[in-house]
Amino acid sequence: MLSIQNITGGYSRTSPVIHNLTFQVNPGETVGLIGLNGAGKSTTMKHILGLLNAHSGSITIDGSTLSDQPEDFRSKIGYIPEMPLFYPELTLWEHLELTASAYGLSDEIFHKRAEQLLQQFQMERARNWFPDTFSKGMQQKIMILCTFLTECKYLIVDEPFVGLDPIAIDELAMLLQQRKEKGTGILISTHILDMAEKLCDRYVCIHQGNIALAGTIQEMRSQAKRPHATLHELFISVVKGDHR
Amino acid sequence: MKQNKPLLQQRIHITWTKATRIITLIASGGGTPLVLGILLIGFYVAYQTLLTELPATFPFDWVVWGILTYILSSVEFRPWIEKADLVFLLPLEHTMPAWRKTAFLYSAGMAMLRLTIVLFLLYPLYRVRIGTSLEWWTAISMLLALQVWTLWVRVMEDHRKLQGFSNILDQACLWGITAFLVFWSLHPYQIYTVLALFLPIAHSIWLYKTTKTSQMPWMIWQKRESIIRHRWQSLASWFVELRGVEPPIKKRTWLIAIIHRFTTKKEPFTYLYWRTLIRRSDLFASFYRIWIWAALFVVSLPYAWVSWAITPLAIGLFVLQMPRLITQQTYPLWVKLYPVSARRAVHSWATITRILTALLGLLLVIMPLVMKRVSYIEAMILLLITWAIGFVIIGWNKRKLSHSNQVN
Repeated sequence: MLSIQNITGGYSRTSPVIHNLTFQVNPGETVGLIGLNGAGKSTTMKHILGLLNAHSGSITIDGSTLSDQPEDFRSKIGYIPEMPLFYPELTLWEHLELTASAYGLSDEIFHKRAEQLLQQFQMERARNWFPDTFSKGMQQKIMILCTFLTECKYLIVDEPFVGLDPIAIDELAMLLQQRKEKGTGILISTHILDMAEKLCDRYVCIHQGNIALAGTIQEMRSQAKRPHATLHELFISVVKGDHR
Repeated sequence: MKQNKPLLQQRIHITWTKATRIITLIASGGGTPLVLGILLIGFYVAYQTLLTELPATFPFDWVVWGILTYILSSVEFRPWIEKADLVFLLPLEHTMPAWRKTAFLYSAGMAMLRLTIVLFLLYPLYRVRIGTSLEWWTAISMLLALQVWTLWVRVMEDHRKLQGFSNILDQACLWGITAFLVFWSLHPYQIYTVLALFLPIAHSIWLYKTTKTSQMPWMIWQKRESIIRHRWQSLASWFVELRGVEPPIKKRTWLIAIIHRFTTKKEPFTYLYWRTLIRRSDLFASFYRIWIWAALFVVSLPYAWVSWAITPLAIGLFVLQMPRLITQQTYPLWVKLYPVSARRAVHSWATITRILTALLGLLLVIMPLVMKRVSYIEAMILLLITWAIGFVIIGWNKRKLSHSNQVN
């Protein structure tokens, strides 16, 4: 289980962005992290990945922290960033090879998965191209391909649908669903609430760095005392402060 | 155009202000002027030796012809177009001919200056072996005019935006005509005069006709500007530390294929660092530049002690720069997220550096051996000393990097 316990943190010690966040992501479960721009979603993800140090609280994966067992911790997490981050000196195929090497995949498994993913995301023709010639959507696909190549136990997915074409959106949604069914725990941040409703089992709605609502749609309805509200309506009520 | 002209002049001004600052910084440093002074004296001695020792039958005029043809044909038009201009200046395309004219005048000025320096350097050679002073000054005036013409052809070629075979044909055309005109400038036989006038005029008319309705080559010029900037910055980074300079990617397919064939794919950082080194880092250029510099010294200064001093010095210079592959190269976030320890990253770095050190050591020792500055036994000893120095510095750097937080 990916467990976030009482995390307070941010970019500077004096002004934390997130406050006392607590939630879990279980294997085989998709948790949607929703909130406005600047609510603290990406900051939360950066803390989970160990890119930012929490001021207080702890983050564990199956009981161990990043500082306890860094290699084991990292090998269990796959990450799709909001903005594509790539090596300009590597081709698409080399990105895949490098990722396979970093995560210790065998040649056989690597080739099988890589070919399948390239086909699924219509990227076969671009395999030997350098990513700086790609469109933003294609660059985002590099992130998706590299992450799904690894089959990590937990996925941290930050706004994954931005810039993707409709086929890629469907493929990504399907892959996320398949991985969930295989037992992967997924934490996904998105603004596309319709997609979140389709994919997520539970939600953590963050507003101004605090958890405003959390749980299944039913649980959030009762927390907000709006028994018939949709996710969209719940989100709007949180943002406008109506549920308090 | 009123909006554009100040912007271009501002860019030129800012660039020269920065360049002046860097040159002042380098000149005020203790070591660099000393090294440059030694280099200048070394090359002066080498040039004198060349003039006196090479036999009269040596084809000097062909060498001068080759050098000048290269200098004149390889001229570059500096467009001063930045990435953002593809958005903000695009709507002002109708005003850009004035921009191009100013940029052309700047490029022509710089190209003529470069040519004058080369001609000044070639003058003693010309006077001793080829022709008289009067012929030389006549040749200079014709070559300077030719330089402006080749630059204009380059601009027209940019407008044609040719690729593949058509581009090769265009290049061949320019090089061929330039070679002929340089030959004619150096040996102005009257029999060729009509042809010398006809060829550039005919080529110019044809270029003008094929490009007069073409659009501005925005992408080509933006890419060219970034390459030119990087080249200067890379040269400056030899002497001072410059950060935030993003180099262009060079594919170097054949070299990558060799690396792919002979290195492991199992070590992610070995995989990454090799590719970064070959395609993106200026350390690759350092490798062969150091080799060429050392070889030039060994060839031009016929003393054994030069080989004994230069070879270990060259390897030291190279190895001391190599930590930049980890510490100064900008890698994306992924290197922090991979389940791979920093120790393995440093190990990969050390492996690559050892291989390059061994190779550079070998290449460095070959030249003194070929030039008979050292015997076979001495060459072996020199190689062992060079390797030992290189490997000691690698070990020291490895320890330093292992304790550094700049890794991973």
